[in-house]
Amino acid sequence: MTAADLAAPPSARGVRLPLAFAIALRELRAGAGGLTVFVLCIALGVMAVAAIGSLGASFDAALARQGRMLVGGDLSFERVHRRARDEERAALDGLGQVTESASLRAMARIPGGKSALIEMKAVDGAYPLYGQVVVAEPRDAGPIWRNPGVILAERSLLERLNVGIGSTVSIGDTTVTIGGILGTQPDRLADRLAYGPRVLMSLDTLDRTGLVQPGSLIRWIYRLKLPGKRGNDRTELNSARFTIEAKFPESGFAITDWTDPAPSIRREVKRFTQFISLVGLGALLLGGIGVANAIGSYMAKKRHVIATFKTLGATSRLVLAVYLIQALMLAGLGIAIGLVLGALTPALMSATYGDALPIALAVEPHPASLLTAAGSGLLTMLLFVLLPLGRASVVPPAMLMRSHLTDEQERPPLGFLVTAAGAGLALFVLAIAASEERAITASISAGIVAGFLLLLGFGWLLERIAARFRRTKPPSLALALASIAGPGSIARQVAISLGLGLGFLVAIALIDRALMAEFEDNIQIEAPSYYFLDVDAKDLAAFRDTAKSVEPDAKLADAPMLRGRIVAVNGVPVEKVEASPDSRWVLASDRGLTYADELPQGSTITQGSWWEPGYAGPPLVSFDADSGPGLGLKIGDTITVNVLGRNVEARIANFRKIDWESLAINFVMVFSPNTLAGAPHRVLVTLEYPKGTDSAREARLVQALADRFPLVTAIKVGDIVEAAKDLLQKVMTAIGMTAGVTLLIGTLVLTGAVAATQQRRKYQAVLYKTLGATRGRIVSAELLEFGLLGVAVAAFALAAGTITAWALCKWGFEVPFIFSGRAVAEAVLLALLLVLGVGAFATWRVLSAKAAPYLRGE
Amino acid sequence: MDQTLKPASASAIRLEDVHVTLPSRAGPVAILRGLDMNVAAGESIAVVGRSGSGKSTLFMVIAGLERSTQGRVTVLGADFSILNEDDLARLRAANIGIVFQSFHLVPTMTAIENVALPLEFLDRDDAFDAARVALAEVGLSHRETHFPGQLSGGEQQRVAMARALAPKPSLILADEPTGNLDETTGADVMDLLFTLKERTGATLMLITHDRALAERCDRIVSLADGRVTGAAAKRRAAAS
Repeated sequence: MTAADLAAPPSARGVRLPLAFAIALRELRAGAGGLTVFVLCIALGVMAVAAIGSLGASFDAALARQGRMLVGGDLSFERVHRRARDEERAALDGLGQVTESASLRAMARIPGGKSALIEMKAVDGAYPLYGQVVVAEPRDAGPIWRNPGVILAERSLLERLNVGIGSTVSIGDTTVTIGGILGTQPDRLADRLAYGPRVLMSLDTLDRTGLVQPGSLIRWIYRLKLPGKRGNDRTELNSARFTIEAKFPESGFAITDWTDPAPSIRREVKRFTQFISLVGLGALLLGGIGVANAIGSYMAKKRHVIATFKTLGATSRLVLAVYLIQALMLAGLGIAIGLVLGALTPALMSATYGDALPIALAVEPHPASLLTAAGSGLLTMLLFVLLPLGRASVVPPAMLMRSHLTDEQERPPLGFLVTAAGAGLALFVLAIAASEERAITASISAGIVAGFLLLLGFGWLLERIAARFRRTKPPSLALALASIAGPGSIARQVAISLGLGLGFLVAIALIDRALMAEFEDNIQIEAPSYYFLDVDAKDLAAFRDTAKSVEPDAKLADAPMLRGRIVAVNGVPVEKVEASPDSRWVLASDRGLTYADELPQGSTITQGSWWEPGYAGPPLVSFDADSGPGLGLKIGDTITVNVLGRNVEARIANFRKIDWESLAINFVMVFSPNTLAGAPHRVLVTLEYPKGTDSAREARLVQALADRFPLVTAIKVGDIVEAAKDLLQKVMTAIGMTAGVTLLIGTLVLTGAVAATQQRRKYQAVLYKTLGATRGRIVSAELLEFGLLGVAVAAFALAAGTITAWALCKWGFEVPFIFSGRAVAEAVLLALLLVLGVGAFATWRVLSAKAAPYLRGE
Repeated sequence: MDQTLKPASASAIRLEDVHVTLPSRAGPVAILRGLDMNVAAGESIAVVGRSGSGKSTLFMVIAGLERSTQGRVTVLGADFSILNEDDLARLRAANIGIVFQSFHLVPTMTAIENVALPLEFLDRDDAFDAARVALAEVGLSHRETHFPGQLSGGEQQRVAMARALAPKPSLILADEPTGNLDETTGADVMDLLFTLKERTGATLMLITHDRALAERCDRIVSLADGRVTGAAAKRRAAAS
């Protein structure tokens, strides 16, 4: 007979999928067993990626959907200091319906001296063009803020001043009545960060306060609603924008339209979610290791069945198809669970934190994010499942009768290795393609892979060290070390499963500690206690005298202050300037400007030189040394700034290194005095109390200044720092939660890995008992094994997390690194808790194993 | 059934100078050392020998489960040296029925599914019908839907026999088929095996320690140290 006579009938040349499917289902009758871990690992990993992607997409969609409400119109025209001139207003009115508003910070005072910083918004009768202002109390009050002399205030102002609805407060030169409690406003997201309670009033009431002065820090916003449905047309939006830009090229308006209502917020949220996505990807890869363990263990149990199939005539392809179908079915289940949970995350966030969010999240599913998560899950599954399946496909049928003669592990055919590598590469490419900052994503992804390899190497090292000391006393320790060193050791599994999550948590805890310490210890020590805005230059001497009369030891500093926007760099409009991500903020909106004869305190010149006192030549500017290179600037380049409706071009004379953390007066741009001295402006004054000043003394000084200078706004630096700390804490919590998911997956992976060794442990325990070991000795050996591994991995995670945190503190955040004993203790404790918890459960099951099944021959 | 899978040959098994050397931790181990054997179609042959004599290896070489290191193996006219693993699998499915000492039923499949399995591998549309018939022949129609864990040892072995015989193989290989059964059950199982063998006219190779069982075959072949040391026809043994 020749091979041709045995040629397979046509139907058998490929794999009969219905048959493979039928056998796959039959094989699952025994239950998924250890494959529950497989499903959970995939589900959690996919959930992490899907949740993060869905949240980001949900935020983007919300911005897009609520664009009009967030902008307050179809377009918004905003600038600082100057109200629109008549011709500018007429041009805007010619385009559609316009509402005018003014935003500024001020002080609300009550008799007796108590005062509070407020974020004021004064609006005209047409506000809001879209959405509604909610008056929380009294209900059905209607637009009472339109009444002259009446304001709406957030509840926190009433609590701070201990007043109620109907009470009067002084703002500037006038007294107003609190008409009600301010609820939500449609355009809140577009407002800047609030340092105090929000207050809403009419423009008429604002005029009465006397706060509108030349050079005052008031943000004038003109919101435009185009007629009919023109606002839906991109061309019409652009046309309106270009009309104003063309008519008033130096107006200084920052123009936004509803299609991109908060570009800087959107960008920052995107950066943040991309970073968190990478942590999610790390969690998915870790889950993949759990998948590999689970499927490897499962296939090991199936070797006899596979050999039987082959003995009965199944081809290797059919065997592979059967178990690949099983893997795909279970992966599909895991992916589906992960996608559902991930897709529900925006809804969950909305339900739980809806009131605290500035925007209503779009809670419907976002296909692109879910598809990316599903694709990532599938590729991860393939990456980690193909090798065990490949090994299984080459199980020799002879093993049915020859399980003792040779125990060499089958190697998967090369095709499986290549395909698995291909899946890994595809996963890498998907992660990069889904990201906007591709270089960063690529390097962090490579870092994650390097981290895994490092942990694998550490696990191997533990095995070698254990092998070196295995002949030791007491016997329990020897047994534990033998288990760590011998075949089937879980050292690598423990290292990988726990090392990554633990390392993340340690790094986050240490960075958090360092940043908080910077706030608490450094910033607050060096920072001034108060900023005073809008001090009239004429009143500066009197202001100083008043301060000194109440607090002679107070230190005061002052600087002229205006606001302006960079409109061109070397003649190139800013829209066309390519800025690095770290420097984009300088061009994003208006910046504080000042002028000075001398180098400001807290700065050092890194390049160029300062101008002579009394310099009267062409305008010069000193630029921040950290952001200059990101804008491609060098000495001699020109910056064009729009200030008070005029474009001013200045040449860069030097770069300054600014100590921002000191919170002393400083500016990105400091001009030569001849550039801006003639412009109407106010003065910024900082005040530093002597050390040990109590809050009562502070309050007395602030009250004295507020009484004498009612148009001056006092901002307590401590409030700003607290607001920043609060924001930082929220960000760190979000990052910490993602690291927590990684640790949870790691625990699952560890559980799966230990479960895979249960048969060996039970057999060993039975042998030990047969040879005379007491139960106590067996328990000690088991717990010592887990305990030693837990401590070793905790130590490694501490070291890796500490180095990572140190590097990020030094080069990323530029804050002093602080080593925290508490973080050390918490990490070790957590590692031991997890490992010993899993170990205790494993030990309990081992002790309950009966001898007969293991000792009786086949 | 596709007739191309049914080879026609007067000699069911021909082994010429077959050597099998297997790797082990202690170095290569020579299991079969230049073994020659010829089994005619329809003959029943018992292979006897001590533990380690190479009986199992011989069994696996003939079943195509193990490759010879040297020599020629021809089973049912097929030269194993030119067949790949999948070809061997297909040959087994269609032509060789194997009964193991440990039954090796698939635990997650019912009795009828186990029996139908090789027929499904052969793409037989009537796989389950033929399996039903095979189970009836071994007296286990009432156990079709039972899982192996729900059957006694004897019943499991009968299911295994039904599985081996369902494709109507030309060659039956049985390795200590009664090794895990009590005497009475074992005797019943062997009676059944020989009955089915006679009915189908298949060639039977039986590995056994049981002399009485060996005597039921046409010929007894003794193995020692990987070689055939004695091959006596039952009639000649009876005469001597």
